[in-house]
Amino acid sequence: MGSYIHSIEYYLPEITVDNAKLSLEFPEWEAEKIEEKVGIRSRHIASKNETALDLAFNASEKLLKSFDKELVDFVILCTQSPDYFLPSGACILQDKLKLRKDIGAFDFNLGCSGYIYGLAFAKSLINSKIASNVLLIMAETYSKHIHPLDKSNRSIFGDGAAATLVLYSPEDRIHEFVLGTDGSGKGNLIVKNGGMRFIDSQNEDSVENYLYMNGPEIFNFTLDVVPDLVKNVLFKHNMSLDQIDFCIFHQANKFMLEYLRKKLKIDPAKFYINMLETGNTVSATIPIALKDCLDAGLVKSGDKVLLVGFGVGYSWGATIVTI
Amino acid sequence: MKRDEFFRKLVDELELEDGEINELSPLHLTSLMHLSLISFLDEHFGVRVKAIDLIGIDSVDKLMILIGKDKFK
Repeated sequence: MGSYIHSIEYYLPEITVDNAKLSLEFPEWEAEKIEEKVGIRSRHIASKNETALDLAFNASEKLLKSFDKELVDFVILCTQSPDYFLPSGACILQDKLKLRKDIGAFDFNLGCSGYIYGLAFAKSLINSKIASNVLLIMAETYSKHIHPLDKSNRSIFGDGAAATLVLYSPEDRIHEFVLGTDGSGKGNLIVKNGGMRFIDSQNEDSVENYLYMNGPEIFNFTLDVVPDLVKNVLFKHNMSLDQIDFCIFHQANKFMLEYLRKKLKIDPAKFYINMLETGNTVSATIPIALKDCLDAGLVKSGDKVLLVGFGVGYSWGATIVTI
Repeated sequence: MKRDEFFRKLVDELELEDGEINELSPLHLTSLMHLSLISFLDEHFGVRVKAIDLIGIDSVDKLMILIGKDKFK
């Protein structure tokens, strides 16, 4: 009894903002240097009236073109840019996608670790016989959280959504998980206003209405956590890095990934870094990267792929999947 | 690490336009340089610095004090 990743599709908004465009707004901004360092040349940005739920819908529609939607029996949506406080986006998607009504649906709020947690949820639902065909969606529009004058975060983050079908399989191809949490890092990546704690802030210009990221501290967090996370997930599988065919980490930025790769002594030939045209799409980076790797033939059927997510919360997780 | 080697590596790591530096040289650190320094100090000195510790660093000397002068020959 087990589960596997059946298929992935993603959707990126039509509007793109490249570094040349950002340079026009911020003439002092060193576009080439930034591109070289963070590995991002362009990012897709949702339009004013386009939400993460719209991106989720488009990615799901794309995916369900080649799968009978009547068979979907659970919807899980991961987003930190919901349309509403309530109801949850997954319920709205059930209706918009014209899925069956006798199915479960819920949202969860995680960022860059979201895909790992989503796979863990999907696997658990399947193993406990609650569902057999889970539609797992990562959808994010961080651009709507970022202050227009915040050139650092505008250069890093892009919007996008990825939909994955996780299905029942006689053999388990989504293997063991290692998950972790440290809420003491909450202040280093946060959108403070808009929830219930700071509900009375009505000042539209307040920086606390927007995303704050302490980049160096987030980097420190990844150095603290990711090497042990990789070590622990390999230990749990009784495997070594040599037995892993390919590694896909959350595509945070090129600089961070290069350093983690070097620190973990992972062969560059089996370590994916590509966010050049998408930027950091938060929870969607891993499925987007996995889909691109499958399409490019970098990952093939039967390969063992190490997936590692880490970020806002702090929250982190890793697993190994057989394609 | 020898001081000269440290100065050379620091110039490379931070891509400093002033090709030659010494203890008295000023440092004007950007946020991108903070990231570079965190990895540089972790890799070469096994020292982990917090972002807040880097805020007052405006000279090579202050950086060397932060790392620990006993780590230089």
